[in-house]
Amino acid sequence: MQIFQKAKKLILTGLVVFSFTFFSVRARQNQLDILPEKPRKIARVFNPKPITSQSGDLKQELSDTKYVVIQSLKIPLTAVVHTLRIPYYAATQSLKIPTYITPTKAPVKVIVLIPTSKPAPVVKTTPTSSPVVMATSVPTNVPVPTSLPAPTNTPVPTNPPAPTSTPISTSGFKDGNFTGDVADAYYGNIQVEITISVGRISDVIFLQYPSDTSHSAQINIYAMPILKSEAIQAQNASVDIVSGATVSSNAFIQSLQSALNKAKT
Amino acid sequence: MRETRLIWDMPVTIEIVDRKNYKKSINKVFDYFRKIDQIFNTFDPKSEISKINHNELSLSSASKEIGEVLELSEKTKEEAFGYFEYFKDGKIDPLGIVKGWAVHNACDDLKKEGYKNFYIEAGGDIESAGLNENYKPWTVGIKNPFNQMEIIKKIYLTNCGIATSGTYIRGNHIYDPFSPEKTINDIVSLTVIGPNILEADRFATAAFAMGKNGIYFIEKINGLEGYMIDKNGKATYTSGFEKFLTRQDFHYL
Repeated sequence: MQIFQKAKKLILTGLVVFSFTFFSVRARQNQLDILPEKPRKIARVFNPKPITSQSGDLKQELSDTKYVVIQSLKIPLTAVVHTLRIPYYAATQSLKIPTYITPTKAPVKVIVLIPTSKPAPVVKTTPTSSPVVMATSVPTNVPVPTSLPAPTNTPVPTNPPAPTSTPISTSGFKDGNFTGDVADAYYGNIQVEITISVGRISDVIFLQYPSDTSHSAQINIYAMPILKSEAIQAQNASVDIVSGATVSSNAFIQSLQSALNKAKT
Repeated sequence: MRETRLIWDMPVTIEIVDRKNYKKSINKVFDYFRKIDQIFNTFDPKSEISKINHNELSLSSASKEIGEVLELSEKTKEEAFGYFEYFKDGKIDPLGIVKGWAVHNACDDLKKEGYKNFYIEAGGDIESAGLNENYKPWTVGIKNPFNQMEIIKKIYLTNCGIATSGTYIRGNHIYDPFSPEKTINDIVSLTVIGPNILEADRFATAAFAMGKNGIYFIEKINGLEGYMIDKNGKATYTSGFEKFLTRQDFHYL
């Protein structure tokens, strides 16, 4: 009799715990609107507009692409550029990045714009000088069979080509699916799987993606944490030191700063 | 003992509480700042940074300080997802990070000399160590960006760095590297508290360039707290910021 009651208690507790975890996890998933239950293929980057030009005008194509869609989240291209660490010069046109931002140390290597209709992908690769190796780096991270001319064989230019004269070359890849290494993206891990068809990247799937702690999640407004706010209010000035924006040598402001320093205690 | 001098075009204040031969130490710190200024002053054609920019000096034969600062700038740029730029018009201009870096080095040197209670303030950014002369944590006021004579927040710091970025004094001296023609005008002031002035300063600069998103960027980074004021006088602060608002007295001195 006692055993029966104990078992009943156990089952009841188990049920309660299970339903609690189940529903809270579900609630969280609904809230974030991303992760499926099995985090296998989490997200997919593609160009919502089919790429019409195959002439290799990367600038034009990028300027037409304002957003990519990762799962159901519409993320500004800027956020994806950060997440994938796409070189600045490649994204210059659409992001209005000044050309003087030297791309020599650009930490990223790949831009992948996946067309929705026909396979006319744009792949841009540059060598990395960054210690952080991103999974999206096709030449370094994706296993390429030795029988094929690996992209690593290409001479490494010290200065990546200017966006205006971007030769698009994707040959040298074997058809199939390739999984990249897990790469630390500072806010979490990124791991991608690429599909190569007809020697070109036709799809990129995120196997791992920094979700609720990611910078991209934070840049797009959907997953921002709620922070407290208040109206600023003057306080009494009995302080040791004053912190403010850097003052210039302007005499007035200078004296003000020293006055504030003196006014302490 | 408190002393203010003009370095980097801005007033720099050092205060040392410990009863020691501080006069010599303070001079040493200011000498160090002058040396750093001579290396990194982009307006001086004889500085090493100018020579590098005019291809008169190679990076490999420059002082080790330059390499260190450039490495730090690149690291910051990566950590801030590009929202930190140390190239301007094709020239290296790492001044945004030099000040915090130099002040942090000076504080480390003071600690090595045995000082425990002091602060260095440079143009509104501070690194504090130990306690003030009343054996209390240093009290720091955040300036009202709309009224220079006012303080709008009082925080208590010990062994911390604090830096405020803003557009209200030097005009728009920070811009968004991704749209430089657009001025940042939705926020006017962003204060960051970190383990030292270097961390606080470099992340304050980068986060300010992110505009309203900057405070969320600070929220995500361990060890940093922030207080952002927007153009309407509304402040938003990170979840751990409030712990600096109450003074925890220390009795071990």
